[in-house]
Amino acid sequence: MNASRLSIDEISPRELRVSGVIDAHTAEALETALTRQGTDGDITLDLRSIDFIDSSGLRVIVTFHQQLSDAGNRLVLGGPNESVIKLLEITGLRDHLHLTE
Amino acid sequence: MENSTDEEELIQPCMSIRPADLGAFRERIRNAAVNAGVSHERLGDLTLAASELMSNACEHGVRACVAIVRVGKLIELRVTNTASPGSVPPPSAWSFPAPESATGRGLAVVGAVADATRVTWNHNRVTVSAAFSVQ
Repeated sequence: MNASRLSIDEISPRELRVSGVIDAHTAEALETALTRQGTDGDITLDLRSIDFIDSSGLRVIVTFHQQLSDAGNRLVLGGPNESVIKLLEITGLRDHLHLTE
Repeated sequence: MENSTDEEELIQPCMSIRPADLGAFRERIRNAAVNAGVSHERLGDLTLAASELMSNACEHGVRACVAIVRVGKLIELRVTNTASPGSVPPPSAWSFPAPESATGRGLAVVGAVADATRVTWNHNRVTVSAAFSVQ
């Protein structure tokens, strides 16, 4: 894998698949992609191809979770792998966010 | 956090950090940790802590660098940057914010995954250290 790369693909309307790493360097790209989706409806973020995420990625996820919640919609995190789930558990966010397999 | 009788061995001298290089630095730190004997089970934690500390250093300070040191049976990450004295809280004050908060989790993540942590000051230079046991 490229240790610095994040790929974001819109695989269906309001469903983004992210691959690679989400860190302080790449988080802005995810933020931009989610902003383009707007808050008018649920968004699914497919995380099954994420190799690494840190709290910079959580910042973006929590921000958009709140924005969509305020609009009466949901940010759904699809297929989070073991490392993503571990980080969500450590930070106490697992029960706060919407996760799906 | 360290026993003063333990001899220190510099595994990786201080490397200057830039945000665009975070991924490459994680790989270098991961490889150095493998060579130093850190178990596969702990590599994820060490890499995560390194990323959090380097991100903080890049965001809040200048002239940031990361070093790796073996201290007895511990492998220690040491991330140093310039900072206003007292602006980095001691590990005892690292805590997770409310779930609704977008920011403020980095140091608490480090505290949660490392075996020991420490903040030391030298004038306007701060070093945040996170240690992991070698299996």
